Amino acid sequence: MTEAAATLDPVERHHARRLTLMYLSVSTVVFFVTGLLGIWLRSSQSDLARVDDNTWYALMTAHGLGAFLGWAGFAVMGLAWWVLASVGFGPRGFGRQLGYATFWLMTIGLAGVIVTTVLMHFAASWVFLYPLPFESAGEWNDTTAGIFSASVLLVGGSILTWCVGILHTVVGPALHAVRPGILNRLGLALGFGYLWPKRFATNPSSVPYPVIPLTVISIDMIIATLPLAVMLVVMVIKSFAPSVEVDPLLAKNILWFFGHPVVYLLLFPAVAILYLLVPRLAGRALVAGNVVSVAWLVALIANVSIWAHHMYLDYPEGTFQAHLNTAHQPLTYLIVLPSALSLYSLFFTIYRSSWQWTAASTALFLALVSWFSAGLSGIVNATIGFDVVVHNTLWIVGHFHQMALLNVGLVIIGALYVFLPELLGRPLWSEALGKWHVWLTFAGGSVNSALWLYQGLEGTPRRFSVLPEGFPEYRAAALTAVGVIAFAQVLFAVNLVQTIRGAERRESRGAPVAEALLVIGAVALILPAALAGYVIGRETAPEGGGGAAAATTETGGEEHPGAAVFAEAGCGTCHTFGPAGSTGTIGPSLDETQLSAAQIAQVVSEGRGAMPAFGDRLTRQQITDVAAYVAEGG
Amino acid sequence: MSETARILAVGFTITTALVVVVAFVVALSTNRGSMDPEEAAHRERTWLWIVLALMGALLIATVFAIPYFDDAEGAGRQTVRVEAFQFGFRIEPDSVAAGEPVEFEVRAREVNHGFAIYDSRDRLVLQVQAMPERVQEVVHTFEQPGRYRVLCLEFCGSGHQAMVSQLRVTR
Repeated sequence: MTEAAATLDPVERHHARRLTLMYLSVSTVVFFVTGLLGIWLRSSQSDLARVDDNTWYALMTAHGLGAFLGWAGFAVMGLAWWVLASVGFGPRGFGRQLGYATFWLMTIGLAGVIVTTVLMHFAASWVFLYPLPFESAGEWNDTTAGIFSASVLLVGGSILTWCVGILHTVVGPALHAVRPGILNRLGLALGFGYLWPKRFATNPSSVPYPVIPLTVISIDMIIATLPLAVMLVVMVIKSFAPSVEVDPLLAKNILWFFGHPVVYLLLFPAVAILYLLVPRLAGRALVAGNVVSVAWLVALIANVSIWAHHMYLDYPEGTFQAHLNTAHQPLTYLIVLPSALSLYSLFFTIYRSSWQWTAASTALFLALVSWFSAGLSGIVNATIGFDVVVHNTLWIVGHFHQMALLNVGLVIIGALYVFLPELLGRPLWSEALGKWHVWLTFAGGSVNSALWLYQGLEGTPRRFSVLPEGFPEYRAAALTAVGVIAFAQVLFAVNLVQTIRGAERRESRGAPVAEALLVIGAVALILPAALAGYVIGRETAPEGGGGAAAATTETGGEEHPGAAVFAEAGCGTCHTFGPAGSTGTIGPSLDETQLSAAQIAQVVSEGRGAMPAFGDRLTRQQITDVAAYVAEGG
Repeated sequence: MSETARILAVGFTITTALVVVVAFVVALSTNRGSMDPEEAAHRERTWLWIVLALMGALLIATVFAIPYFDDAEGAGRQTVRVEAFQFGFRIEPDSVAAGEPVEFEVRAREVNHGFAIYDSRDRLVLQVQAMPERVQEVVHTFEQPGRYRVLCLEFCGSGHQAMVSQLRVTR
């Protein structure tokens, strides 16, 4: 514990501890639940525990929103209270009340998200891109969309109350501001004292570094969340007044105006944690020049000026979007600065220091490594010429899992291993188990993300309940990696429960440096090997070696002319038909149809029941072909 | 894997290998010798300029790959109208000639959709997104005749994965 925390007012310390523990309790439960959802999703793709398509997308929605905001977001929001308390900034009066309000808003909002997705089939993905929530193709109704929107609104409200609560806390007396004005104190909390020491004077000490990123993100998230909140209110109104409309392009821009900075709601508090804990574990002050404050000033402005890198492939005719997108590439590059400079500071703080390899310090170190790597794949996403290749492929999924699970997630885990003993007043049950947890999570997670990154470069799309034919899923490697991650979390759970129960401490068996190096080496070797194997395999594959051709050879020789019509007209969306590999369940299965080709042709031309008529969409020849294809069973 | 994707694969693997090297250097340095933190803090400014220079270079190198402003105006252009809907595509005409620019006019009926074209070896040829009320245009010249596959790459509901269609490219 630092000296600052020791001198903190006992009442403020009590509340900081309580807030942190409350947020962490819920977020850790969410972590395990959404982790299980992730395993389920991956298993379903591999046909181990197959769920129907809409259920898959509903679970995907719950997994995305839950893990992103309910676990990682909520956890760093809670840890922020303890980080601030550790540098002397305790929650006072109004800010403290907002801290408690945040907890309830987030918890109730998350419950609403879980209920609407898992129980009420809402499956518009975590970005709930308007107007999809109101165009469900019959899977959920507008009321459900309204309840979901209201739930997300509560989550958004919790972000706002947290931001104001944090700002109230950081402008407190611990700043030691010479001038009392609120703008002056806000400037101090942003680190302006390092740039303009005379204008932003403090006595005796400068603002602690962890305060700066928390101040930046609190200001930014207020700006970023308000437009989305308005959008969500409109969506709630639309759920019972369907005539209300929003321009889809405006809606998409509003979503990403929030969707970009919300990533930094995870990252910046994680940086605050690193600014606090890395120097403590290295036994020296943070290696940082005043240029760090420049980076955070850039972050403050850039973070709410860029969002269109999520929309690089939207540039409709007659709109300004192409120009906006083009301008956003260099602007997005600016957000690299706070990350690049923070990584420099943190690595040099560790370099040649008396760093000890504990479970916590290992987690934080590996988080830095993942941050570096995930930052590089992020630069790819920020570049329009590259994004064209990776947009909405599994590359993106690999990128953000590395960022969220292996950077922010490992920071949360490392912080838990340091803070839990402080918060609970008893030591971690097993240091060795903690190390295994950290290393296995890193190893499994890195392989998992690397696979997704490569699959993305192969063009494999994301958000598919079942991958399209012709795209390998690397099933054995992926499921092994998922299994390793899952096993590691079992170790984590055991360690947490035993620590909370106050079980007798297990003696540590020394630092597994050898194992550690082995894992890093293995992961480092796997990446180029995977690339080499992949490129060779790809280049030597026979022309048309993908799924379409494979399916043709199975049914013997030439592809049936009706097969193309079947695929093109989208028959498989509603109908199950083995030879076409379709699994639709809206209409009857065609595998055991007793109808003749002529009868089928009539149904296709004129429609029947819910089935639309295709007479005006397909030519007579196409209808004859597809009818023959179905009647012959391929 | 497309040409760009291959460049990314190689570039990303090399830079990640560098990250691993940095990690090893820092990890192995601990508890060995010492350094002057003031000196490192002072050098941070140099690092800032290095990062700015690298990002600037990347920007200049990639700015010409921005696909928004097509220059394939002129005679011989073919036009294909695409309508994406839940859950399928209507593509008219569904056959184009290789070697001549094709202008796709992509519309979306009810929700946001993607329009991605893959060649016969499942390599991503091009992709754009479309939203209701707007027209998204993109021009592409196919070099190889053959059968191309069309997929939706923007999540659009329970039948998203079933949005599969075809485009024929003839000589």
